Amino acid sequence: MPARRVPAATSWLAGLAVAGMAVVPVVAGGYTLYLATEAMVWSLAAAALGLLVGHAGVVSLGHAAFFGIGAYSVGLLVKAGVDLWVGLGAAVLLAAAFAALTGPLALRGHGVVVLMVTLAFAQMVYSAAYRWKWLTGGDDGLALPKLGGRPELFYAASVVLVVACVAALRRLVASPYGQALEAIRQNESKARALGIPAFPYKLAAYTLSAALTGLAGGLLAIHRNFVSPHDLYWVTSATLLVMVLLGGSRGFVGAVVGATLYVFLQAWVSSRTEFWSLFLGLVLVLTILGSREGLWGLLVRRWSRRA
Amino acid sequence: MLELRVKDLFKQFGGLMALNGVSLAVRPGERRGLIGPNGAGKTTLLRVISGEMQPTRGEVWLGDRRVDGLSPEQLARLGVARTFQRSSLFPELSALQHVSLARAAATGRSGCFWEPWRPDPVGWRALQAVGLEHRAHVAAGALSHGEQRQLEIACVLAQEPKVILLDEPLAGLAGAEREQVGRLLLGLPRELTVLLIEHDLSFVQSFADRITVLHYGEVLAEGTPEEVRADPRVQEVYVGTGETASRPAPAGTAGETLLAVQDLDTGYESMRVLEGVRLQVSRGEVVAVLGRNGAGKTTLLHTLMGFLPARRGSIHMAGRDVTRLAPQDRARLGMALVPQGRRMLEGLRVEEELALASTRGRWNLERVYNLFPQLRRRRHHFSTSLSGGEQQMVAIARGLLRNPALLLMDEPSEGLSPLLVRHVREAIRSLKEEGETLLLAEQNVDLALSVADRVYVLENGRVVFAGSVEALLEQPGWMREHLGVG
Repeated sequence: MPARRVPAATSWLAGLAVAGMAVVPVVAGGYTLYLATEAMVWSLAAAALGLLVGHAGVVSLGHAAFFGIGAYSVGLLVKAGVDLWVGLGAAVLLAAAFAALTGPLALRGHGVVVLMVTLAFAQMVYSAAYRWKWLTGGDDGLALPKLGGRPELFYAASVVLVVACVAALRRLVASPYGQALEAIRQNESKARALGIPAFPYKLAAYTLSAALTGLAGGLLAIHRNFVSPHDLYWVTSATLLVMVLLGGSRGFVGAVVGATLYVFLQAWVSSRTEFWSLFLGLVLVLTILGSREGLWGLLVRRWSRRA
Repeated sequence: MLELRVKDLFKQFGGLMALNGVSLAVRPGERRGLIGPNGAGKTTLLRVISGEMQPTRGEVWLGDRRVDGLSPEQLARLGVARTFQRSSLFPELSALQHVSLARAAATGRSGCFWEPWRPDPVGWRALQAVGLEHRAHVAAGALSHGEQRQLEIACVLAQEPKVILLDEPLAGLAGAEREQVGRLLLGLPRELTVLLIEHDLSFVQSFADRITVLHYGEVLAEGTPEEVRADPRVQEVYVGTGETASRPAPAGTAGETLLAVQDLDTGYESMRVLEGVRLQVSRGEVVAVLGRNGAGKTTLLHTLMGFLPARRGSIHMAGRDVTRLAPQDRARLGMALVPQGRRMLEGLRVEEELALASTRGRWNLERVYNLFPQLRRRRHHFSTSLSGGEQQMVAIARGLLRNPALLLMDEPSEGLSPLLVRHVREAIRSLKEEGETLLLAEQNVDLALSVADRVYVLENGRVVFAGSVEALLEQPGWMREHLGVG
């Protein structure tokens, strides 16, 4: 159990990363700050997906739905003149409600079935947003007034939120419920024979993951002052999965690392060459070949070996 | 203390009736052994009782509560614990996490998400009881096969159940590990109601208060170990009588050696299954490999076919060393396997399935239909809709259509009624007359001895007998001890 050997290394690395994350963009300002905020928003969603992929063993290709539902909730309610906090609350609740509704169908299956069913539900939401022009603006999206106060403050708040969520999720997976999720991922029939109600437990994790992703979607709308149906498109789900796999699906810190790396690399590489996807594919293949636990896992392992 | 009762239980899989009206009552605190040849429906019965499968018809009662239709987790909460035939654990969780989780689930605390997981004292005592406390922090995947079995029993103890279902807890264990797990089982608290499936009959007899014998999904006999041992019907199921006498004359002088196996060792991960197996098959011969379930028969055939690597020893086919060859290369050299459990291809009709397997050579569709006229009548049916016996014929026909030099057959009689076993017997005999070379793994001693020229008996992965059928039949006492209800 490597998890018992590394906590010192992990907390050192994580502390260093958080400090860097909090200070550097604020000092740099401008585009760096914009990207850093973008990275925090995606990090929250990636960490939420990590709970499913890395711990509950449920691979969802439909998280764009929760992301987009969150973004549109905030966008539409703010446009209707509702308070921003109410909008964020609605983002969380509506995303969770959609998960609680579709989860029972998606989680009946395993593996590829889950992948396909979550994908299908997300694409349904996408086409709805795309068609209902009178409500969503269709392909043009929703342009929003400036929200979220000063960019430095909004960034600081998102860092605090991501750190708090990662800490809470880490506590969750260390609880008996978290152990039960691990058990279900590793051997569902044995877990059930021990008396663990696999289906409701997975549904709870699914709903929680959706709620956090919905929150991230709401933050994205505030951050960009814009909501686009593209946020609901399946590529967004795939991007989240790539972030999780790139950084490491277990322990949530990896998901944050993956999302941050993705956002910055994309900005940097695509300003230099048109072959961003090619570059990303290469990095992903090398990461997965190099370490099943992602870049963060690789780093932690290196670090703890040296210590 | 809880009584476990099963009333008129039926379970159907496609054309196969796995449970055919089973009734039994295990008194509170009783230890019941459940035995029967492979395919008798023992594991199916356990899976229906534990809620993994819904019965086609019938009732399951726990005390005065009817429980059929409940889910496995509901049954676990009512006090039913079970172990699985193959070690079934969470490979990344430590032993201590296993027992603590089992405890949390049993006491309804597995949903607690606000405080960290903690080692459970009852779980710890369960680990101590099975002698695994020194391995408490080792991930289950890194434990030896015997330790994994011990951990499974520790999980059961940590659940503090009222009823325990044990599915072959000694399978794959040998030597000291086997003795230790056996001792653990014998030391289970007496107030528990236990239903035990086990092929090690001497262990069942020392463990169980009463024994139920299943055969083709029906209760063949029930009684104390002594009564069951003395029951001639039970003897017949295991050893068989009579029909072996009508065997045809041995097939003259054997031809050249086709298959030669030397000092073969194989296993799965930490588990050694075959040890120093030597075996030979000559062209035109029918050779049977006998042995109880878990003796290593299927593993032997899989190793011959190349599905499992040989750890030591060699396999020669027609003079060529094939030990390191891939399965498809061995197939090209003339080996074909009729797998256990038939394995029909979903969504194909009989003729399509056979056409898929066809190669050019002495066997073609026409000749196969002549051998199995029933298949000609059924050729436009989906193969999965056929009865168990017809599926077996499709499986044999598939093997023949590959036109192999050597046909390996894995328990062709498994799960078939006596009438269908006779059909299989006739089919094998006509193949023999046609000069085919067959290596047959069987639990059905009757069938094997009525068709084979020579016999190997496997026990715990070793060859304990090699010789002619006559030589084996001359030792009825030895046969009973090694193959039957001893």
